[in-house]
Amino acid sequence: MSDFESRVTSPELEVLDVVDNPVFTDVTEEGETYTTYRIIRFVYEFSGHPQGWTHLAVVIANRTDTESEAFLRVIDRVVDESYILAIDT
Amino acid sequence: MDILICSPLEETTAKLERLLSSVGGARIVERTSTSHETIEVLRRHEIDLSIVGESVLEVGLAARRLLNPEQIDRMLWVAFLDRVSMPSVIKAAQYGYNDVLVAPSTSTELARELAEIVDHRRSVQTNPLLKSVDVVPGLYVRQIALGDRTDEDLVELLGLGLDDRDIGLALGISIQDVRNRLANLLEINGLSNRTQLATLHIRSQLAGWLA
Repeated sequence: MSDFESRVTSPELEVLDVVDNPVFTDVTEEGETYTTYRIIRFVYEFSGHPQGWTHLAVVIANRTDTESEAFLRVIDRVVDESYILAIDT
Repeated sequence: MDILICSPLEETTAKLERLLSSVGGARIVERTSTSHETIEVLRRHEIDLSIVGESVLEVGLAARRLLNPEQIDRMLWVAFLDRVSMPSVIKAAQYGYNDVLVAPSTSTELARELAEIVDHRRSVQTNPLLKSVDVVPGLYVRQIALGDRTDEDLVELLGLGLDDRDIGLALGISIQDVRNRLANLLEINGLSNRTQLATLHIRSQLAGWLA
């Protein structure tokens, strides 16, 4: 039995309410390529997610200004891990 | 055009001498077989073109570290390969060679290729073999740029093989901070992955020891 819960975050929730730094760097699975993103807003927060994600956020790539969604694992106000989803072109 | 040939292989040197003997304007000034000999020759002579054998491509790196940068930049550096070898082409690109010559079989062919290189009509950066790989031309002749003491420690630990999480533990910073710093270092140094950064750092350190 899973304890997974998903909640839409409050529109009033500021990015800096959740993390100390909205800028984080995503690393490819091979651990080689580093791409920096900025969190624009949080969309969902999770508890008990099977992959350990705590939030789904809208993010923007620093270099290309492309918007994406990202699963984030936030621990102690730090983005500990990320997974970038579809890119909105 | 004054030319230096550097190769420890007699066969390679002899082949180049034979081909160059019919190339108009080409004058072989010296033949060397080691980095040390090459550096000594370059200190004595104004060489226009160094042709370096595949087995001693490190000569180009050593020269860049030990000689006046202006002198090095005035010269052309060409790697001489006996056959098409992608690893050797990549090595030549990363070591800052202007281009590669792949086993020209006639003087006419060699003269045409050299003219193209001298006139900058071709270079290793436009070599078709490199189109599909992530190569940073001249990577290993660069000086690594670091922001602060934490960056220095970070790159040191990277070169020692630690992953991002362990680097963060060692430096007392978050993994988010480690990765943001790594991304910034990759960007300011024009690199595309952490292996390039680690290798560039290790080579810079070795060069410091050897200088």
